[in-house]
Amino acid sequence: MKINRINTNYANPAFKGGCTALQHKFANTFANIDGIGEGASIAFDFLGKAVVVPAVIMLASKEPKEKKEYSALKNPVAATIQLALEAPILFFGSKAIEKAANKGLLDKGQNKQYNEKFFKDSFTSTLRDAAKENSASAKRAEELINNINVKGLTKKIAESAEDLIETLPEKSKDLAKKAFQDYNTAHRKLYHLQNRLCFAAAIILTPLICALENKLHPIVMDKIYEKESLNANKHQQANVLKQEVCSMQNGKAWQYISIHAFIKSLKKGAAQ
Amino acid sequence: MKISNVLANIANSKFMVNHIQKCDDAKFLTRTLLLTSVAKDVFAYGLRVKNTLENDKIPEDKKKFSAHMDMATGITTAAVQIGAGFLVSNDKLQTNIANKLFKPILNDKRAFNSAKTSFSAISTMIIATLFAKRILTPLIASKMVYKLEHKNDNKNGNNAIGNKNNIETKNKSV
Repeated sequence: MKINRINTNYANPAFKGGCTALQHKFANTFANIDGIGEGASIAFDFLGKAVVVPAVIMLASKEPKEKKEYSALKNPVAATIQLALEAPILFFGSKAIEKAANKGLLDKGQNKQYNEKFFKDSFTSTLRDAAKENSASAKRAEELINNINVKGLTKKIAESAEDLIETLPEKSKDLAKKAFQDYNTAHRKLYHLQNRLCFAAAIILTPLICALENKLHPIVMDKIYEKESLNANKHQQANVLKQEVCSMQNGKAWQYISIHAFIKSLKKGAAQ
Repeated sequence: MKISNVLANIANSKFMVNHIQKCDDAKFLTRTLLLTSVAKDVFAYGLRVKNTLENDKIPEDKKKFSAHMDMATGITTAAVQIGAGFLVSNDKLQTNIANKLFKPILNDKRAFNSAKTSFSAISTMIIATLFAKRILTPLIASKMVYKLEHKNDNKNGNNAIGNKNNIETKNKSV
């Protein structure tokens, strides 16, 4: 019996199920990732500059420790400044393009390919009409429309819309399907347009971003090092004072050395 | 002309409409993201080279060296990122990886394609912008700097020896 039990366990090891569940979770996570575009590109660039470069410098550089630390710290500061300049361009640029598209400013005659709002309104009214005969479907449709209004057309919402359309009566199913396809296409087209136009804006504004970065970077670095050197000075002066007290107790030679060091440190502090 | 008119013309141009239609393809979208990232870097390096060459505060020999180095780093970063990114975003490689990684959802075509597209874009960005740009490029660029500096050292050393010899012969003759 025992041997059999062991054999059974070997045939279906516990970790195998766990591994499959993990793989399933991993796959679902990737399936649900939405909107990889300029935002992701900026985020990866930030990660590279703020995390990878300092790590490489600290691990691989053969320079003295102080120089290494300064070089490593320089990069996250530059990355943060760059992010602070690029992210608003993407955010406000995307919002402005979305507003323009939804107002119909990007329409060319009857061609409304980027007008997401137009296709959304068309889809929601078609869905309401198609689902009104069945109370359960009508309730689900209202929930879906509320979700779209709050969160926009995410991957999950798109999936539940497609599932709901499948439950509609045959005669209205095709109409709802077509309306949803148009809405989804307009949504994707607008997203790609936002990315490309924001990329163009980032390229055009690169000279300004570089100039601002060059101005801000030394200021931020100076402030960081000013604070650190102030702390270091305080520490140094406290040590010298301690030494002086000791020397006063122990003898003239020590007193001379400590006073000399004290004056030197004061001079250094004044010079800085 | 209004900004909205300019935007409408750009958005409805043949090039943009074709480009956006192609963005439904995972490989095309990934490579577009990669190329836009590289284009930003190349433009920034180009600007840096221009600013260095126009900066009168930098001595002439250092100016040339610095500009050449920036140019070399710009070209290296572009080549390394494009090479690594195109290699990783290769269709066969991505299909093989996706078939192994996303086995549990292989039957759900919609979810599988979605996961494959996301993975293709993210893995390409990680390899190109984190590994190639931030680790490989500095390694190659630093080797280039070392070689260039040594080249200059040798030249300077020869010049210095030459100068020293010149000075010695001058002293002897006096």
